[in-house]
Amino acid sequence: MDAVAIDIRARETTPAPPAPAPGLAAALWRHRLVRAGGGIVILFTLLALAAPLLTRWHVLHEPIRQDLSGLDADGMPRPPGGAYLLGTDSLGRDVLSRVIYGTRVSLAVGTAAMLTATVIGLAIGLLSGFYGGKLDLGLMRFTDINLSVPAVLLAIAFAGLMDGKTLHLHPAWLHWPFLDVQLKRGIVSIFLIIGLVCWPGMVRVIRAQVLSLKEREFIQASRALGASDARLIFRHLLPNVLPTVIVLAAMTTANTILLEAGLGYLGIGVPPPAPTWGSMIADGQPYFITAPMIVIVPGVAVVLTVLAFNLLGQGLQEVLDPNRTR
Amino acid sequence: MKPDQHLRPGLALLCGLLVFSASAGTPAAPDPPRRGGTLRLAEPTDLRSLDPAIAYDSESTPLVHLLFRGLLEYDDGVNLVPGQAKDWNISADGKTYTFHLRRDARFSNGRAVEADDYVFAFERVLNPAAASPGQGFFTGIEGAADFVAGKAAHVSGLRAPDRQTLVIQLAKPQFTFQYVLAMTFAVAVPRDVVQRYGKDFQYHLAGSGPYRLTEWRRGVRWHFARNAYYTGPDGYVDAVDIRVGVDDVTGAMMLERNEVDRVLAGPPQAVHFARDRRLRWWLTRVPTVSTDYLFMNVEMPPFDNVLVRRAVNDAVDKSRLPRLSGGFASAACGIVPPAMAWTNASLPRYDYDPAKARALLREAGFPNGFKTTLSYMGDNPILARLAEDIQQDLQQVGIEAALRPVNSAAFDEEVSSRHRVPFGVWGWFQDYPDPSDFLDVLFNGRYLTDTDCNNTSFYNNPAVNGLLDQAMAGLSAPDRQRLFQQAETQIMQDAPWVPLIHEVLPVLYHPRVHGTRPHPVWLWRFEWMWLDPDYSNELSK
Repeated sequence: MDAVAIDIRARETTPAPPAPAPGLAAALWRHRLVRAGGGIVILFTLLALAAPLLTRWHVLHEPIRQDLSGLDADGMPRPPGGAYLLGTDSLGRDVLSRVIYGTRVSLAVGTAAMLTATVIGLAIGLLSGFYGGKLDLGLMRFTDINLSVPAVLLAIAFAGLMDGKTLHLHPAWLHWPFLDVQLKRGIVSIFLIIGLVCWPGMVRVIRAQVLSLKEREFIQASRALGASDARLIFRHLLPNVLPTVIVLAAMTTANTILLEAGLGYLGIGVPPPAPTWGSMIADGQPYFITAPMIVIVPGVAVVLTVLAFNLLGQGLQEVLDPNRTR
Repeated sequence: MKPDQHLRPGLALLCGLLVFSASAGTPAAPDPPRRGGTLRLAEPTDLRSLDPAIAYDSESTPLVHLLFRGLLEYDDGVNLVPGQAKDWNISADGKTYTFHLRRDARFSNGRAVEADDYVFAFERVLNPAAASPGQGFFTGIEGAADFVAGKAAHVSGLRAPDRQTLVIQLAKPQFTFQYVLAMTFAVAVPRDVVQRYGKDFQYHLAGSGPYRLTEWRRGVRWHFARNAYYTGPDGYVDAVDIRVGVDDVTGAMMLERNEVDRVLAGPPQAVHFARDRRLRWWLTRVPTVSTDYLFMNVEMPPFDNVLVRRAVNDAVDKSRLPRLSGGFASAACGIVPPAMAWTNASLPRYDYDPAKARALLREAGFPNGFKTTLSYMGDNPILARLAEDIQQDLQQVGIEAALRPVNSAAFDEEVSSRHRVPFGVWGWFQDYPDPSDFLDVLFNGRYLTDTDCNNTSFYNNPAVNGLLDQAMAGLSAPDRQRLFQQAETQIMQDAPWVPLIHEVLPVLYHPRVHGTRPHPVWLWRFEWMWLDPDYSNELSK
């Protein structure tokens, strides 16, 4: 009996995900949407990584250093040219330097929030689709509730809670300071907030795919062979939904970056003086007539990045899902 | 008066004595002033309320003054003159104020103003149920404490012996009480109308001022028309119309298109106008009687150490602040603004000296500096900019101050609560033209409370309290001046504040508007403004 079982287990195979594994890199490179979107993302990532070096080599000004030489005699921002390639902002800070350093914040927050949303969305989608029944009903209604509230409003509400107060995660009489969490605004709290409001969109797609996959023969065969739920989920279902997840993740990054910029614009993002694109646009708005570059440059950066991630997502979808044609 | 969300660039309650018009070809005003027309104003956000017990910000109080009138008023300077009181006298001991009212004063519903309406109005402001920000101004009246505590149904110090006589008895002499009576909290309100509408009185305002409210569409528009029953000096314009939701950038463009008559501009718009040869004389610069400051809570470490507080004073480079404010500010050296006709030669000097600041920090036991949080009102661009600038200066001497922007409503509550905010940027605008409004109100330790405390540093020095108490007792002007100067000097030696700037307001007026000279206390007297009907707006053609 044992020998037979081992023999059958050896023949248990996981069908290859639809993605064309061999030559994937070449296929991606051939696709012009991936090339365009990926190229912009790589460029921004390189700029973000190199920013401290560029400052050290005096190619870029310090992004948070206020300098009176950055203001004219009337105390107004300097126009583009000379020592400040894209001009200065209302505190005499270099716009180019701030927009490049803002890339670090936007990409870091956007990526971390995307990962948070993906982990939550993937977990709920997999569990809901795989187990079905009451769990599915409960999780999907929870998702529906989250979908019914606009992500921006939810994020603003969460951000409003970050007022520096300490949250005691224990009964008052226990005095366990290690369970005290200070609710304050920073990169970590902002990416968590954005991640916590961006996951519902993923759930339905993943759940639908899991519902379809779990009826396929290879899953039925694995189940018949005694594979555990965990094995079915992680060994068989996860690799098969991964291409979809990658596409969703790229498009979600566009949303998280946009939301980060939105919160920054409303003054409830990463606190000053850290340069963020949203806060730069908000600060520069009163100067739109006298010094338009303060608003235009971070605005273009937001548009380019969001466009890039959307192009990348669209391209990835077409490459990873050959059945889908444009 | 605390700044609020209305105190954006170009918005502040009370202004200074001087007005500089960047005049280049200002057209000659027709003489005499013309009556008629509608004065068009613009506001970025809606006014909270024009109920005189509630309104307490830069834009609301001059509008309340259009609708309501009180016993005393200011002339075109800082001198008090009878308003709807025919005459008044103060007893020799300085405790009893007797007013005789004018018989012709009427509310906009036609009813005559009676002394009893003033008693009702003062008790209404004192009543805790009204939650009036003006309550503290009236607690010096005899019996007010019992009334506030609910121990008495009426304030024993307020009496109306007949319809035209009002007697106010103070618990002790208070020199500044006459100024309190000229504030909008002290105007007459009709008892019958307030009792009929209760808290909805703000939608059915009836006052004894030259105008009456004819329309309030929340978030959209306010409209005032003439009060037919008003018998005092009339306003020039027939109506005042306020469009809500017009920010300073949009407002400046609308002004150029002749769609509004006045805009409270920010520095960018003001500089844009100043640089334009055609537009530069539309701009008015108004120095305010205000001080924006950095406060240190002396009850919270490390600011309980005077050496740390002096180090912070030495670490801040105030000379940069006016330029960072687009030129619309002057650097502050002391607490009381110079626009209050105030000088104090004995003030200790804190010149920008980072080396001295580091030495003081070492002496205080902080050789490597320390970390703290700098709170400020995030929706006030002037204070936000000051906070960012100060953070950089403090970093130079080893003080790592994390910026903490807070929305205006929460900030007001936090900074006025004990042991809440160690370090922050805030501002104070005059309520009345007397140094006590800055020194006594903000630094007399006898007024310390756990909440709603104006003394954001929670500073309490018995020597200073004694000097301020003496000055408030009603001495001769030179003696009061000397005592206030001594108090200010001692406070600055104890350094609970770093005075930063005195704000200058950039205000844009359409050239068809005349009579725009700001009032030293009221700031805007809309009833004194008049419109030139013959002006043709060449720019809008």
